Amino acid sequence: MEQQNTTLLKKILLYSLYFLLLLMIVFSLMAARNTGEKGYTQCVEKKCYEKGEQFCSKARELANCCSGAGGNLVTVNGPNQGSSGYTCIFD
Amino acid sequence: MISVITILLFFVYLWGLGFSLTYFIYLKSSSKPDFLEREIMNVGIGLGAFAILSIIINFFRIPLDWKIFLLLSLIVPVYAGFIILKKNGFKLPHKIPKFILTKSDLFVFAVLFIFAVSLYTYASGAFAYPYLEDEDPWGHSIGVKYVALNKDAYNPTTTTVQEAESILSYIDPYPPAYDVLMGVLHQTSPDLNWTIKFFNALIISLGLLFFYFFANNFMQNKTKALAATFFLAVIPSYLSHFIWAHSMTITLLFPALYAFNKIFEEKKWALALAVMVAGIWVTQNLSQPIKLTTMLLIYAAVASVTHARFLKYHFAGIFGGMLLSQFWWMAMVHKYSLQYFFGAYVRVPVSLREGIVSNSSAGDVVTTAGATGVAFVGKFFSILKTITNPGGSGSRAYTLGDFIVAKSNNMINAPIGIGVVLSLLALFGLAYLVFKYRSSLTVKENCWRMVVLFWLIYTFWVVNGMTFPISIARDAFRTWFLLAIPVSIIAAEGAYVFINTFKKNKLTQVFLTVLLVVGVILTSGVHKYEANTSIWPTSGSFSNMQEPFLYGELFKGIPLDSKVFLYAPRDKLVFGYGLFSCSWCQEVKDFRKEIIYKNHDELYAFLIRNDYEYFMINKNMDYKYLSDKFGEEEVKKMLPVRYQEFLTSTKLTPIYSNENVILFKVD
Repeated sequence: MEQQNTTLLKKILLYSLYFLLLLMIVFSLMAARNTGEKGYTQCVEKKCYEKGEQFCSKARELANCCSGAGGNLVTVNGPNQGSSGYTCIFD
Repeated sequence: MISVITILLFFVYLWGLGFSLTYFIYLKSSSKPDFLEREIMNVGIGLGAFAILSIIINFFRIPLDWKIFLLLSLIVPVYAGFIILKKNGFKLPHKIPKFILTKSDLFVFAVLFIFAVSLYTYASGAFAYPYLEDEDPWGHSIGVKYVALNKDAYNPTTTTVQEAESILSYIDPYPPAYDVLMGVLHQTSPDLNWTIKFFNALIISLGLLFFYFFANNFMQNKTKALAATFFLAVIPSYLSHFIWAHSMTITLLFPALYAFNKIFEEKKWALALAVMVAGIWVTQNLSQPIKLTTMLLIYAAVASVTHARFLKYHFAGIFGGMLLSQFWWMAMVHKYSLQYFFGAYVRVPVSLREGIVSNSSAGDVVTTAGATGVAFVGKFFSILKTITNPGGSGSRAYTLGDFIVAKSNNMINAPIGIGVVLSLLALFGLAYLVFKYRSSLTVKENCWRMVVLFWLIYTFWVVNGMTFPISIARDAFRTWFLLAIPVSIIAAEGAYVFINTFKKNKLTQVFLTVLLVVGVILTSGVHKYEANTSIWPTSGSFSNMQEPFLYGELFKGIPLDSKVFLYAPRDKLVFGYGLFSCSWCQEVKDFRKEIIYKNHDELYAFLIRNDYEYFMINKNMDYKYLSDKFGEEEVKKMLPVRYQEFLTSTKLTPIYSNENVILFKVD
């Protein structure tokens, strides 16, 4: 009986490992959605919703969102300028 | 200013306490590790012992004095020496014991070399500028000075967590072990700036030695352990020389894991594990202890299954350590009350706060059972969200490039990135572990392989808290240090397997080893070195990049510990440069509340009464920080009046001035 329980526990452990490894791969593939202009906008909107307008317009937070989306945050003067004076550019 | 005696004392405290703890474990033990392993790990065990011992000493209101620590660390070694002498009839040995160099000693020497290079890198980077970097280290400098002078780790002058944090951010209620260790060292090393920079670098570098001995016990293979230690030393995302409690907390994980492994041989090691876990829990503010304990629990759970028995001594060590740390945490709950204590740690998101405010503003004072239920569920989720909130100043989503490509331009507190060659080795190692051992991973002999895979999943998931749809722990960006641990171990396995595929050709093996070492150094090590030896930015209090250097130059000409009063409420800067201002003293706190309304005579009387020898104004800094407190208009009106009074004073002599800064000598 004990032998059976041990075998079952070992099986559960092994399948949990494989399941979690697979989950990490799936999540990593899904993370492609975080990139690009859309990903950047989503990230800023989420921060604004969770922590308020003042927080999400900070240069540090914008830079974090921009890097996470695979871009570079720059200061821009002109029609593309965001309300904060920064914009995220992508290659 | 180097203090050789304090370096010696540091090793005496730690080695002595580690020796004291392990002496009784080894006493009747049949197997003892080699001399070098035993003595080096005594230092590691001593680090954790020092942390919790300082908390217990403080709890019983015994002063945190270096002489007390010296005495406590020497009692057992002196007793053990006496027993040996007694056994030999109080005769000293006639011959000097022969030192035989073994193969394992050569591995230890290689690790000592890695330690030395690491210490050189971290220390030369830390001393490349006269100031402390960013904000946290300045905050620690106040705590260190407070402990050094008051020999106490409780802040006696405050009643709320918020008030305590505004003055002494890192001792109370933040667990103070890091500041206590630095404070005790500062009691014999007069230069605070040197003390915290050097010993922080030393603690991080010592962690590599502790890691090697843990990895050797864990993987049961010296070559793999050496490779893993080398990888951990060069991986950019493992600790930088940033001065904060994380340096000590993460370092303590390795003696804890070492003790954990040793319980398989001797159950008395559970006591050492408990002490290490307690040390972790009293060194950093919850987020890192929770993650490190999770890693230990993963190990215990996986090992219980693979060993086909419940590892009660391992679990007892982990939970016993958490219980022991209550000497600090329960004291804090008692001091601040449970409500205030949790209020400081559980922060409700804006969206939820708005919901709560709008509900209450409706004037609904009658609470129905349903509403209570909703409120309870809402509170539960807000707490859960807080516990797993991946946010923090540096948290963000990461791309594949962030992991694989290491950059010299990195974050200073929690650097990111692995490096191309190391990433490839880790991926190869991962694929090898999963495919080669796909049906035998749960076998007892492969326990460490299973554990390291679970650690990889856990730390990778936490790091990606903002990348993935679900976050499982706090502070994603401060988990890169932990991700570096399984990555190094798996990469070591990958490198070992890769090189051993050519075991029939020794020359090819040597060539490939050199190639991998050079490749890892070029794609990871160089970036880590450059990131750790460049000039780091500092506090936002300063007006420009040159000003912190100017302060360093000015303060170098003033004797250490001279009392300097800054007009702006930035006392922490004074501490960081090795000078002093009693920022926690009631009179200073009261004076600052009305500082803008105090005229020259009142200021001068205050300076004389409190023995301040120097007084400093900084137009930009004063304007910025006083505006925060008194409002821009008021400061615009009052500040020029005050400056005029100071400049025409006969009691304040300017000894340095430029267009923004004036340093006065108080006559």
